[in-house]
Amino acid sequence: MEFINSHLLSLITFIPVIGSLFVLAFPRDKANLIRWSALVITIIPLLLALVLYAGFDRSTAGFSHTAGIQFIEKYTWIRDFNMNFFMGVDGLSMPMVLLCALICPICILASWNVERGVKGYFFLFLLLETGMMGAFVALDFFLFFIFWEVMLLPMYFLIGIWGGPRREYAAIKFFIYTLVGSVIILLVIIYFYLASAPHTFDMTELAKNNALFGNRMICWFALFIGFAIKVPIFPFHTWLPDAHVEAPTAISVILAGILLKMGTYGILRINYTMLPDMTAKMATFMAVLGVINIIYGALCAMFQKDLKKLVAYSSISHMGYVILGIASFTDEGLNGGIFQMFNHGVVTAMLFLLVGVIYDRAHHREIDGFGGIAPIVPNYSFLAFLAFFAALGLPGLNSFISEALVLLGAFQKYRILTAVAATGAIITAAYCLWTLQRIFLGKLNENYALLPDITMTEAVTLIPLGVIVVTLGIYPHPVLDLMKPTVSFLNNLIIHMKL
Amino acid sequence: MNNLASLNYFTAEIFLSGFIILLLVMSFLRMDRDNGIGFYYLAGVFGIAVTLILDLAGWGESGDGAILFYGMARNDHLAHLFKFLCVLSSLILMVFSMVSRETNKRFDNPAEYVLLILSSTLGMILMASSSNLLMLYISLELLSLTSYILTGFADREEKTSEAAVKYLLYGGIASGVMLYGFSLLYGVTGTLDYTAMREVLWEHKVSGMVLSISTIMILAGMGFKIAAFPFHAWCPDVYEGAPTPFTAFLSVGSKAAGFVIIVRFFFQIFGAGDGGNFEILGDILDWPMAIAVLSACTMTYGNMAALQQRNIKRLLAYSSIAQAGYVLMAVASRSQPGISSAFFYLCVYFIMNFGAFLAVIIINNELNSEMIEDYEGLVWKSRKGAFLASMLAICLFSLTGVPPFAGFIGKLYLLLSVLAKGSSLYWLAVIAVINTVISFYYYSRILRLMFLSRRLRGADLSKLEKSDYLPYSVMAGLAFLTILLGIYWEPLDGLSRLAATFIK
Repeated sequence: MEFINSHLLSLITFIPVIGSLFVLAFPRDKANLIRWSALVITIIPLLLALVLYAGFDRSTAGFSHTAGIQFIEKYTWIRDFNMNFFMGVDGLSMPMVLLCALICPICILASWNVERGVKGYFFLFLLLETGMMGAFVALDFFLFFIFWEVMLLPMYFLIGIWGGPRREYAAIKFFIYTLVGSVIILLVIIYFYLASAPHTFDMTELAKNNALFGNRMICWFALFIGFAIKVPIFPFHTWLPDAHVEAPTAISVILAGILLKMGTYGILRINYTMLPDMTAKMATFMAVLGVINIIYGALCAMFQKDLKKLVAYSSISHMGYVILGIASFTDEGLNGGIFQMFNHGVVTAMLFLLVGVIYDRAHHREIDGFGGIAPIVPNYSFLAFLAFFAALGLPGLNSFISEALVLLGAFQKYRILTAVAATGAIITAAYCLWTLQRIFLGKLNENYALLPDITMTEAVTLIPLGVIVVTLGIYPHPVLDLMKPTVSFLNNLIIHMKL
Repeated sequence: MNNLASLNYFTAEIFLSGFIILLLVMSFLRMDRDNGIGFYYLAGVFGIAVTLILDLAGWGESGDGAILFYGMARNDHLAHLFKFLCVLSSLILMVFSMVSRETNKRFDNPAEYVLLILSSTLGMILMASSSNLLMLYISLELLSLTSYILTGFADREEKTSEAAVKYLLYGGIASGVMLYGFSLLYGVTGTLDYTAMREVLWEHKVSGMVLSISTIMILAGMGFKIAAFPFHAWCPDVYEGAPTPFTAFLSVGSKAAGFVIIVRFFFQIFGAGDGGNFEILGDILDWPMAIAVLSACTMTYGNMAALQQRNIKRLLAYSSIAQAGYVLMAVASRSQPGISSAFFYLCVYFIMNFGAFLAVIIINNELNSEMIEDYEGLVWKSRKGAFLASMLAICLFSLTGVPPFAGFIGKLYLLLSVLAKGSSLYWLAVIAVINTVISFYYYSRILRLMFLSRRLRGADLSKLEKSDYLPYSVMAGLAFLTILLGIYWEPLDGLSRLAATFIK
């Protein structure tokens, strides 16, 4: 127990990869054994994350780069290069760890019907979970980069092998895009390492001594582009519709639910703390990009015929709120932005799972190909309405709170931009309602008169997310309280730079 | 140090020469050539292993930087590290030759094959320690001449002979040009010894024009050995035509030997200065910049040309050109970390490139094809196919330079040494990372066919047999090292730091 408490983060990170080796050792014809063990292996980090959540100190005040970082684990890794195995969570990473731990078992359940290469699939999936967890908790820049790239490899195969018809194209496009982003980030990492004195990869040290870095504008843009590709911020978004549409359901969920947050997490963790002056200067630039994302994503979503593509574009739109929120440098905006990261993770996961459910039955995703199926599949319809209402920001559901906070924060700084962004909410409402109407309401398409309702497994994946959507919509403090100290620290950092 | 005292530090070379002569005599005496295959291979492995042990023993007791045979050779860490690398690659070549169908059954004269490998090993280890132009030339030719023969050794089809002749012609011209460079250099400095040459440059003013021309000519000869652009034209044809085990050796061992002579030549003669502060000595062209440009061209050309290859050996040939470009980047940084990182990268490259070639050899044994399209659906064919495809994927990812594989750490070292040089070489680092992305594109073509495609092409795979254990375990070992060094590489880091200690 003592050991578990003191190594909580490394356990959460490495249990999936250790488990993946077990999965690899199982005989390949025992598909069910592999599925169940993968489920168990992903549930352990979830339980540990709940322990982490319970033990997380929400009151940490104090304004230094190390304050608020908890569950620290630090070991020497490569002494000559001053690389450390340095992990910890603060208010920024804690919600992300929770989100990741929650989504992964759900995705395992959603992958239950994978038949081809079961062993390889779950092996890669577990490897992916280690990469994601590690990237969120790493506080050594080099360690962060390793995990960041470790996510990439399984993703390439998961999209490429188990994806849809254009999977090969989507996989390579995703990989090349992200690789470009990563190598740019790598150059900046090395540059920061060489510029710091003594040389270090420690993120908190780098943030403290950021005055030593030269070429700040170039570095800021390099990092920003590297992370923007992941978010994805317009105009680096073109990989996303392909990857999301071609990926199998569970992988779309991971992509939209967690991987996209990696980008905004990186911007907050790296750009904000290490180059605060540049970040302050580029605030308006980021806000404009955020608004473009909101409007552009929503408009694109509106014109999609493919339901999955619609959800993919809606992700671009919703990530725009995050960018707008964090670019406002108000407590409300930043809180809203980070909360939106969490909420979007939950809501979009639900949406992709719902798309997967209907695709499994109808074998197509044409929005116009359905019609009036609400009475046939009442449970499914209920969950779909819930998810789409959450996506459009209906009061009482979680996205409403985060989007309202974002707009509230942004309005104090950018009045016109925020007004434009608010019209995005109208477009969002339009495409969500229009989609619901075309699929569930109206005249019944006779082809689907015998459509079966959701199964037990599908219900188990969807209902927990639905509960979170409603609960956080009414009472958001469980998540909001986690991030407040960190958010005000980040905000102060930037505001002081402005003065 | 006088000749007699020097012999103490020369045990490995002496043993190897003696062993070669012994084996030569035995091959004449032994007439029953049919069942002698296993014997000669085993003898070769034994000879190389003993050389390796003697070399390591000699390393332990070596006075660092001792000058042997009145300046002909230097006995320092750099020499021993590269000897180690070269001898190991010969060992791997022997193992691969036993594994590959191209080389293990067809010869009626395995003794010659083994002898040639041993001779080229001797050439390489002499190259690693030579610090005299004459010594350099002789050892280089020993390696080159044996390489020409080995390329055309398994004379099975036209392209093999074509490759050998091409290699011979190119090699002849390259060494002629280099020799001309040597003579010019001798003309202006009056000596062939590196240390003496450096003193001359330090004390006297020599014609910058002649110095620059001779340096360029010598660089051409050495660039030929490492297949740097624009001296690479032999490389794809030779790699394609030569027996695959020897191709692997050419791309690793012979390339490492090429790098050590470049490092020695430029750093011992021109890289003078105190306390790690390298001023360019002599009235000469800016050679680090020349190497930097060479490096940028080499990696870009290699990667661009690899994009369209359909033969896996040709593709790996172009990829190895690009990899040489990466290593040259570290040489261009003209610093101690640069040399360390070059050695580090060559070690990592040793593991991952041999891994990739071993996978190609085994797959070639199974499918009887070198064409990439025949790899289609490999992973789905059987457990054997899944294993081979995964191992090859690990090596290819590592060659791309993606974490958590060793290739990434190697690239990191190279980029660190280049960026540490300051803003004058930033452009090179940017070109290198762009090349990383390009290189993934052609590696991913192999991955795509092996993993993503749902069609099965090419021949079926055989069942796992007892004879498969050796290649498969070597394969797994190389892949394991590729991952291990990507996660924990401190020991190798310590070794590679030693490589740069010859610069005082």
